[in-house]
Amino acid sequence: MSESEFGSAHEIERLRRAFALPLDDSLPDGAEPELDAERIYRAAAGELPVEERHEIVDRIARDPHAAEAWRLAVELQGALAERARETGPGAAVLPFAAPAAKVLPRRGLARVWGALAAVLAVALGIGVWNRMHPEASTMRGGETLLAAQVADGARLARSDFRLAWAPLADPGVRYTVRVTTADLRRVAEARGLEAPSYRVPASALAGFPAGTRLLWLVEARTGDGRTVASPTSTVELAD
Amino acid sequence: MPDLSSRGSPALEEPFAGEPDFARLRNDLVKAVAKICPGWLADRRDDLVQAALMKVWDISRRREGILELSSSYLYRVAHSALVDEIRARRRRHEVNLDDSENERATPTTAPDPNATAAAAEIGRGIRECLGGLVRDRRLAVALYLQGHGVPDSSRLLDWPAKRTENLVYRGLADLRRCLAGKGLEP
Repeated sequence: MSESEFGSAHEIERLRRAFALPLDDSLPDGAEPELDAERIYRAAAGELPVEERHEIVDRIARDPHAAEAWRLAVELQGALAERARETGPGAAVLPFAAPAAKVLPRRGLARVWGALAAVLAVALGIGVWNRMHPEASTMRGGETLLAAQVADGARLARSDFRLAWAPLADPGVRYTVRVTTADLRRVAEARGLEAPSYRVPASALAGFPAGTRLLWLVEARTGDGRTVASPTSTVELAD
Repeated sequence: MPDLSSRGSPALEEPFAGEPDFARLRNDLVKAVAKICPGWLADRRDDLVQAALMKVWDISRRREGILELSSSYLYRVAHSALVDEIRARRRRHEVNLDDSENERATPTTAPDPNATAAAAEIGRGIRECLGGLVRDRRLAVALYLQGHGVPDSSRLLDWPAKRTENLVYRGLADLRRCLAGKGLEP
């Protein structure tokens, strides 16, 4: 027997498409508790014990939202495998439900993802952490945070797009400012600043329409090598 | 003198020099949402993904320190954050269900409302019919309808390929009979 004997391609496609339709956008009263998303992901990757995998597959047979989460997991595992193939061969960690994947190399990924983590940390993390822990707006793990002196959400003219922050009392301090789009595409960067402000050149803002939301933060390196950062702030480009 | 260098322009697509292509994870999430989620969610994929990415950071930071993260861990966390965000949005009833009636299909579904409604009815019928199948056949067919071939399903269910194949075959036959009994024809 081959899979072609299961039915016509057209019929199978219709069945699959119908199965993928959510029955409703809200859960009905008395619905089963939601499955933990991580369990779904790990089941789709074949990482859970077989009985647990069976239990989760049984759930997706009757729960369209669990089925959707499973498909998202498979999609992301396929994307992860695809990225790994681009990076090159190496050690294997195989999410075996992702049909395109055979090998997930480690070489290069650790460096890439370590750096990615750093970008996330700088561009998102501090701001997110700060918003989620407002009591620590000036202290984080005993560490002082730089305070922006431009109001979050402020509208700045492109002709005078000046970012400023409270200076550190350290004669050897140098500042690095980074400005990105909301999805972390680079807009401008200035390193080694001595003054606690930076004006983004109008040329770097050319092409962004008025109303564009930009993220910025500043990091300070003190004379004794410590690094201190500001929360990520949002500013809006005005004309 | 400080090394003051202002770099970049809107045309540039790469991340900061010496840093990774951050956009990859984001793009993968965006693509997954666009491909998998119903229309009303897919239309909000940028917000959805951004919220999920912020959760990724927070979860990762609290759990083990981000510099130690592996890519597989990061994708797993991203998936959890995305699913949680989708669930939260569903719970908040951000859309008017009546208005979204025709947007529930995945983006690949034909826009014809009649076809969508028919497919939704078949989808309901499939789930009802699956509930009546012998469990092993139900598992095999559920994975098959999720898009997994026999080799994948065989590994996921830890059954021999031949057995899996038979279960899919017989399960689909049961399903067709059940659907026909309901007056539904895929």
